[in-house]
Amino acid sequence: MNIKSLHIKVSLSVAAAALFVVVLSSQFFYQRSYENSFADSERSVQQLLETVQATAAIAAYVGNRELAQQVVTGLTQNDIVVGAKIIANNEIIGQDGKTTADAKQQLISIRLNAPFDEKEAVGELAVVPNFPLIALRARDSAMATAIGLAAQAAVVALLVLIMVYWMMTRPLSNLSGRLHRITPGDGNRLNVANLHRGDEIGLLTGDINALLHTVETMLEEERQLRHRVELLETRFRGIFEDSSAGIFLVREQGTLVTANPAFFHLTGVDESLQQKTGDNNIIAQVFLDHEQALSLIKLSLITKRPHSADLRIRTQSDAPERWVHCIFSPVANTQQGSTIEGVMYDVTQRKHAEERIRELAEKDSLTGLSNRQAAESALEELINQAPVGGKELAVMLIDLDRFKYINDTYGHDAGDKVLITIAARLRKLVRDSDVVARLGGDEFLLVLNHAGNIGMVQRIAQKILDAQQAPIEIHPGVLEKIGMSIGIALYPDHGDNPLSVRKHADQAMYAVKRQSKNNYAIYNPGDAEVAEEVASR
Amino acid sequence: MRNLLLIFTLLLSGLMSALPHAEILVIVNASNSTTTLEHKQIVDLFMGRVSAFPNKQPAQPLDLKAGTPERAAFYKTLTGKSEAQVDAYWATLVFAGRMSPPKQFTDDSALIQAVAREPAAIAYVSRQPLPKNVKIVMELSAR
Repeated sequence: MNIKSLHIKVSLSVAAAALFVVVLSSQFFYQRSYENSFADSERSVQQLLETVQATAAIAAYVGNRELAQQVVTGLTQNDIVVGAKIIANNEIIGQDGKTTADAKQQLISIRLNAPFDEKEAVGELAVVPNFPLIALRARDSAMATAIGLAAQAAVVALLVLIMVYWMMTRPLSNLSGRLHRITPGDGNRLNVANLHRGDEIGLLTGDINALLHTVETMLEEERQLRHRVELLETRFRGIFEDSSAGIFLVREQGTLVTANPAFFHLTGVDESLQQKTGDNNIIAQVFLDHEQALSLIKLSLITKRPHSADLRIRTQSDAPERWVHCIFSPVANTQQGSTIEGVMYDVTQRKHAEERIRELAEKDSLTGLSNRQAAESALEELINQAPVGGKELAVMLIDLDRFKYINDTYGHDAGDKVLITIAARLRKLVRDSDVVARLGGDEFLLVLNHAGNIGMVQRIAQKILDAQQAPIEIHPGVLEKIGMSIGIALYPDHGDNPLSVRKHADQAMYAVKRQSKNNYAIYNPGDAEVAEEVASR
Repeated sequence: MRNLLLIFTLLLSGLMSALPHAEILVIVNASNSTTTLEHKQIVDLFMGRVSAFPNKQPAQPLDLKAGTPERAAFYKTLTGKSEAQVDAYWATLVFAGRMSPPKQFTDDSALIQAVAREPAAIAYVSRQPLPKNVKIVMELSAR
């Protein structure tokens, strides 16, 4: 038996209430009944006294002891009186049973008047009531009343209990039990007993059924929604997983949140290793240009729009350089900080293609030196970028002597070989930051950065000329020495724009060609003639 | 002197006639030293409460025969009770024992003779001329 069950609770409550009522009411009624009974008994004694009053008065009037004795004896015959006496003229003229002193009780007494003069008191009739008996009777009577009441209350309580059980507790308990066995979604409903159709229990059952229906509908909707979400998720996950582009989420500080397989494949980062050490800076780990990547991330966070760039990623030291195009987009601000989505795809091939195109556009295909356009734009750029009164540039125009003869005598291949060799020598003799270009035919252009003083330029020119003393094997076993004429002009001393500097270098070179060949000359603006300085041979 | 007495007698009779008419006379033997009795004393004597005059001389009340109108009038006047009530009173006392009601006589003359003979006697008679050997101790007027 479940102590918490409804009808046990109700039963206990009703029983407790009934007990309470019984105790209270029986106490009250016992008291009242006792008092009533007691008062009745006292009244009986009083009436008894009144009955014998006339006779007692006669006895007291004439002082007749016999009559007085008869009266008191008669009185003590009653069981509610234990003693009686008649007093006349301060003298007891009749007494029977216990005296006041024995019983230690209060007397009940009445005045005796003269039979022929109501105004004259002739004595007193006093009795000792049987208080113990009176009390006992009063108790019995009161007890009977109380027990009767208690029995009545008990019967009423029992009836109430049965009614409550029948009308409320049992149907509720049944309802609860049936509801307990129903799982929302199994389609079961509660049925209403005819007895409760229309009352609160019926209403409750109906409401529960309606609720069950609503819950089932909602569950079904939820199930379908979940199914759709699962489908979508599968699709998106497929896109994410199968994408050839590396997709990854990073925090502002560069720690990786998640990434797809393509990301790990592209970057060569070990996925399992990455998951163990979550706090690494993945940006620094992946990108060679990580500072640029981090600044892109910051930029996208500040502007709240995607930013992209081609970035190099770290590879094994011996592996070729690899490029990715990377787009950073701010995703959302969470409690852990801002998150950025990155999408990267391999653009190494495109980069290489671009490189080739640029080379084609800028390089001389034979010698690998810059071509005319590249050289001209480089010169222009250098001059434009040069601060006023800053560094000096030296422009050297070089023309090979006897190239036409070699070309005509030994063929184009020999000519090409000469050109390639000269180009390599020139490249070797100047710094990497200096421009070395083939303008076309056998004409070369050098732009020396940080030319310094004229002496230094002359030394370089002399080194170039000296280097041509080594013969070139144009055919197996055929050696030829090639001389060259070098015209030099300085920026900004000999011209403040690329065109004039080149023109003046050109003039200096033609001056060398006309005179001695295999020499160099520096443009001399002083006498408007080409000054020449002939190196000793 | 005779004139004076006559005047006094006339005055007295006039006064008497002005008072309520006294019909019953309570009499005792002339030798009795008692001259007058209170109403209450007469009740106590006739109802058996006391058996002596106030002067401690023994007293014996004498009664008329039961059923006479004079007797009923006497008790009615004296105690306010009916003859039957008085008889019941006596019956109670007689039943208890040792007490007896006053001795009864057939008429006034028998009573007067008994009072005249007995020095302790006391009785009541209707208003009438009385012999010298009895004297009035109280006059009762029926109300």
